[in-house]
Amino acid sequence: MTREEIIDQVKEVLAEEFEVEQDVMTDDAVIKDTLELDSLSLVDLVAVIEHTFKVKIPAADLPTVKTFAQLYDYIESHL
Amino acid sequence: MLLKDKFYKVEQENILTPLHGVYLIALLPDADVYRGHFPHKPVCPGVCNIETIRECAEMLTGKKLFMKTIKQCRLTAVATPQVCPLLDVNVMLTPNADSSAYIIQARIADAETTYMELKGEFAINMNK
Amino acid sequence: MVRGVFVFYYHTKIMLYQGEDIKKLIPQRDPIMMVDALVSAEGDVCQTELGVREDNFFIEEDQLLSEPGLIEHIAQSASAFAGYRCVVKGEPAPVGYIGEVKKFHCYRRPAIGDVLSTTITMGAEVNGITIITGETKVNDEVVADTQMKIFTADE
Repeated sequence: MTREEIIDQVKEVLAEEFEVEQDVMTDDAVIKDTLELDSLSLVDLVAVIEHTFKVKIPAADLPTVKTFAQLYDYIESHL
Repeated sequence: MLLKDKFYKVEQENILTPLHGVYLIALLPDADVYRGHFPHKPVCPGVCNIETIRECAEMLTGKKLFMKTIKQCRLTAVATPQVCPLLDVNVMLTPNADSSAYIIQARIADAETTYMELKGEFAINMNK
Repeated sequence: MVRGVFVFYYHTKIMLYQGEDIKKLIPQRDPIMMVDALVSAEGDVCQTELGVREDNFFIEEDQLLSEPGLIEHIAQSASAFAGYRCVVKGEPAPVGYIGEVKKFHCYRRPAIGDVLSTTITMGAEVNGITIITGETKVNDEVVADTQMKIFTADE
């Protein structure tokens, strides 16, 4: 899977799950603010990524995944 | 109704529009359900609060409603008859495209705390 | 070996926990116990059962189970699964609270005499909040499915 394919798929599943427009998910945007995540919906994010890419993000790694670009990096390096 | 006058009692009914009502309810501390939820530690079962929302929506519309979908229901605080003896159940309904169901938005809260927020679709007179 | 074969042959369903033993897995008691048996548990998936009886707390005037009864059954099924996973490790069963019900669908309200057969799948866990999915069938018909988030409190 190329990085472009990862980006397209992430945007597609997150837009559906969190009911946001795809174009708000710019590379440098902070995920938590863009998707208005709290402790409950953070679990949705982790679950959607796990379901879509079979990539588990342990709680300990979450602080390193702040922006969308960092999320793509994380998925790319754990596929 | 399953829970009216058994789990809660309606103290006041404020019908703002035919599709928007606020029901002030009193939780009944002697309700049977607390024997099992939990022994020596009465806590309102979240599902009883969901049922209470449905019953208030039925009182507002005068129709039997079927809980077809709960899009999202958040249980934001633990409710007990001691912590929140009186609660406001705020129910807002919007008919769907073919008027077979209501899109519902509801909230259970008192002056300080929100205990539940629910969004869903309740169908009219189905599956009876 | 012979004894094992005997047991398997004569009981078409082998339950992991049922009857009074279910109380070791969940904190709810009569009148709101909504699981009869933990049928199987493997990896992240378990199966439970509940027979819908006339005296069930959630039976409405029309003699059908109310939809919140299905939600409670799915929540207690997840709770029984979490309890089982702790008990086999020798730890006490945790107390779980429903934090959120999401994407719940009810297709048909079960009737008295129906046996609910529910599959629970444990999903992602972050900071003590676990996502589970539950699907409830009567015979082979799906009557309800949902996603749920459960807070686990150590007691």
